[in-house]
Amino acid sequence: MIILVNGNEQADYAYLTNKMFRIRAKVFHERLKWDVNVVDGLEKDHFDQENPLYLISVDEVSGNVRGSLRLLPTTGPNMLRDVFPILLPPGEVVESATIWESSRFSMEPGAETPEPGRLLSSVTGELLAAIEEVGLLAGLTEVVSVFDARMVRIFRSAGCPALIIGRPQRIGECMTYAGLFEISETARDKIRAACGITGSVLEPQSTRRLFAA
Amino acid sequence: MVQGDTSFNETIDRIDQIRKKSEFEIVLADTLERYRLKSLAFMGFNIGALNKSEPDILVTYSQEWIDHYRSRDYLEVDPVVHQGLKSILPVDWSNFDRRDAKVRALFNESREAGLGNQGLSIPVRGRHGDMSLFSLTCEANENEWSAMKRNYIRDFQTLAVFFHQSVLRTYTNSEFQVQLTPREAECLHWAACGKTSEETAMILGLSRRGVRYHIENIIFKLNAVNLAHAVAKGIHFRIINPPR
Repeated sequence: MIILVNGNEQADYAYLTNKMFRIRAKVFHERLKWDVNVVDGLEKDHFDQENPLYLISVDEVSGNVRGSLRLLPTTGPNMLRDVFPILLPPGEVVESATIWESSRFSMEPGAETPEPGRLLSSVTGELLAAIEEVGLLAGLTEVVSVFDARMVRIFRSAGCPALIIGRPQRIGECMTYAGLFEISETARDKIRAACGITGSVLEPQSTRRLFAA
Repeated sequence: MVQGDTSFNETIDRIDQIRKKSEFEIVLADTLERYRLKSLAFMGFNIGALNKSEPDILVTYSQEWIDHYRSRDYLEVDPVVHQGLKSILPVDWSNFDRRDAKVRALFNESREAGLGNQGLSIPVRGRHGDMSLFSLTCEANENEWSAMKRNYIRDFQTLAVFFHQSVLRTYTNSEFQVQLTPREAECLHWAACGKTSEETAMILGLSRRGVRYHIENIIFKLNAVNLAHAVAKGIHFRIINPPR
């Protein structure tokens, strides 16, 4: 299930968010060797100060954090415009009332391995389905994201191919893309079908607390 | 009334044309009527003058209610403001904790002042610490309210951002400047020549979705609601010069 947490609620949800930042350090620092800042085993950047919305995947049985991502509106500070403008032609920006940015998509090493008989791991499916659900609740038309080649395959298997915008660039060791994902009931249902998800993945209490669906 | 409808376009167009503070009232009242709402309120923070203790507010309700709200210091306890600015998600008022007596009084009195029984607040975040909260109320039962949110949430998100930008523009008196990339200008040019997205894609050697993406950016940059609107503005602002 997916628990929603606001960036400015980190103190109240320290257990969940610290686990999330720890997994991010493992993924982006140790594995992908991105140039990220890790302090005390936690990876945080200045967009975490911009009060993003975190989508955190939590194992229903064990309560363990399995993965996460964060959303930021494109009308405010965001990574594509402020960090990766090189991915778009000069002068082009993605800035829309109905487009948010997803970043720091990550999961506990091992959790990305699909369960037997599946193309995608349940955590991946859950996070992607949650983006659609939150997007629909918030009235979005698209979500934009910066991602690397390994994610392109994942998105395809999940039934949510990205529209690559701009020009992919080699950043560090990996090919980096910017892409748009459609937010719609159709797109949501495709992801659900591809990932074997039958209903809402959002944990009702946190959803009600934040959005009020 | 969904995006693409005439009334939505007209509303957006009118918000975009606002150049004076006094014009907001008319447009808010107009928006109210179009969506059959009971109230609309825009609260801007960090817009215009710095270090202001009070937000910029534009509302459809009476001065009497504003004065009452102020005299009771409701801003201190109003969950709309506090919850609304905490998150990037829209907030439905029905989920607020109303156990606090002062909060309960606020909502009861707001009903007497003409606000509806259902409310929704949409936060907007700008680039330079500017924020706003666009709140609407209406009179509806649970089913009607669910349908309303489902049908119009995209409209409301868009309206919220357009109001925010309009207030920002009006209060800071910055000239509206449009900069299209060469690719965007080409897409707009071919649209003005009567080409469909598909035809434009073929002419420019792009994918259909690629053209659609450029068009979305053009529409946003020009503060337009659809491509026809963007073409009209493109010609008006002399960004494009299609053959007659």
